[in-house]
Amino acid sequence: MTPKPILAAFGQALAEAWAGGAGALLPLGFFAGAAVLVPLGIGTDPDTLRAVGPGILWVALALSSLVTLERIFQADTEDGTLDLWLQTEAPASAIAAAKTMAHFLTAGLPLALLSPLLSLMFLADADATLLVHAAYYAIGGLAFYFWGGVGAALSATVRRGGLLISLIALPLYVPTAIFGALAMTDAPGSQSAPLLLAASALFALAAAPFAMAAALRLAAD
Amino acid sequence: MFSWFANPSRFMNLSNWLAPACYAAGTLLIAWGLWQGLWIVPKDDYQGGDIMRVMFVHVPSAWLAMASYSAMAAMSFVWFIWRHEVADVAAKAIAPLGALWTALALATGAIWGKPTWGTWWQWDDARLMSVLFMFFLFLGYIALRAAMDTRQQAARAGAILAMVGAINVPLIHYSVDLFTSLHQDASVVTADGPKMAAVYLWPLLSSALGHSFLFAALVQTQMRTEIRERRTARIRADLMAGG
Amino acid sequence: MLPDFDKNAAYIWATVGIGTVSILMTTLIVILKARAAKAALAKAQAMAKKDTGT
Repeated sequence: MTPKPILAAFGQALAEAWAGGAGALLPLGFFAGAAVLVPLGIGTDPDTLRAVGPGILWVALALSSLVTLERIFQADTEDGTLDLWLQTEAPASAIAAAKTMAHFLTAGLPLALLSPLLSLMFLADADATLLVHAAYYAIGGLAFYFWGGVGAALSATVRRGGLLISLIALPLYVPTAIFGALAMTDAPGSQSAPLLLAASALFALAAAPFAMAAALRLAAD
Repeated sequence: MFSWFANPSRFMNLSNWLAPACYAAGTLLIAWGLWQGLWIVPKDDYQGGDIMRVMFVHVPSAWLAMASYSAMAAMSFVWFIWRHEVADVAAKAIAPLGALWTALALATGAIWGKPTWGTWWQWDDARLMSVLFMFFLFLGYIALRAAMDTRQQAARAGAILAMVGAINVPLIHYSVDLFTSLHQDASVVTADGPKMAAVYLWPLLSSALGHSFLFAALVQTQMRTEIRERRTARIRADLMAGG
Repeated sequence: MLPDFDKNAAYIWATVGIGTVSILMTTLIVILKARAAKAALAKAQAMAKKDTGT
């Protein structure tokens, strides 16, 4: 086994993400748009906004991941690239993981990097916590994109699979979202939440590629 | 053992008498449990008076919600490993019925919650949340199968999703449990008290067993329908090809 | 004779009603579907027989 096909899949996914017109700007725009809709919906009371801000960003992150995940395997399935990936000697799970990782780096990580700005709009204090929270969003986003990738791989052959992905992936997001939201509170006992958040991301990294591989072999049949 | 059941004809022969037996046993046990639960057993003042009679509907449906998801995941696993067609037929038959009983558990739980907790819904109760997300997993499973072009694709995609969901349900439960333990102020009256008097235990067991039998009967009928539909489709395809 | 419940009677009857109606309706639908499938299979088999007979 050589790592070459895996790197190629990674590189191709990266190139695709940047090539498609607005590229990484699209999920960023959706993320910010979804978040700023909230104060308009629930009112502008500063205390309320400060309280709900971190949670709103988790929800916006989860939704943004769903919006872009549809294309992750669909294009490859349609033009037959998927069959070529599966014929390489690299394990399908590694290919799937590489593609999902590239997708996360281009569409998910920028959202985490943008999160301090949005936190400020939700009247958070401008201190180092914002950067810690950004790291939490990045870790949680990793879990979101990998579980979402399972949904995307399962519905790769389904035309207009976007809604289906949401229905499949959202229940799988729950533990990560809960640990992530807990990590940002200072409730007693939440000290372990960052570790659990990291654990849920690692679990997604470990388990999701195998499910994605099984689903992709189905899509290629 | 699995292989013995894997033959559709053998399943048809078995369920030909087993399904009616399950219908009968289920109906009788549920009827006895409900009669005892509503008319005979005394009300429990510790549990808030007569409202605990809801238990004889709610607890069996909550038990079946969990049991049906486990059964669907187990059948998916059997299909995925051994490719026994009857296992896939079973998983497909369980999904809508499991979704119904899960919805029933949620609805009756909300009705029980209103007079006892004062709210229809408790966000920080791990059991509620696990059952809710199990319901979503059922819906996702049904939708995914329906979206697939061929039976084989539907079986495979469904099996993967059911198994991924099965490893996630304990995680969801644990995460909400942690969430709950941090919200100590919300004092939830536990549905099943510290100890249950024997007078409630037998009607409850009877109801739970009855629901299980009825569920098994309905699953068998659905499986028989599915097997017959597949046979019909095959005959029609042969006729088209031949004529 | 209906039993006499305390102030929560409405909740109890609602639960029992929802449970009974939803399960009975499902059973009815499942059985009707089973009968339709059985009839369709018998029809298809009869057609196949006629097809091979001639």
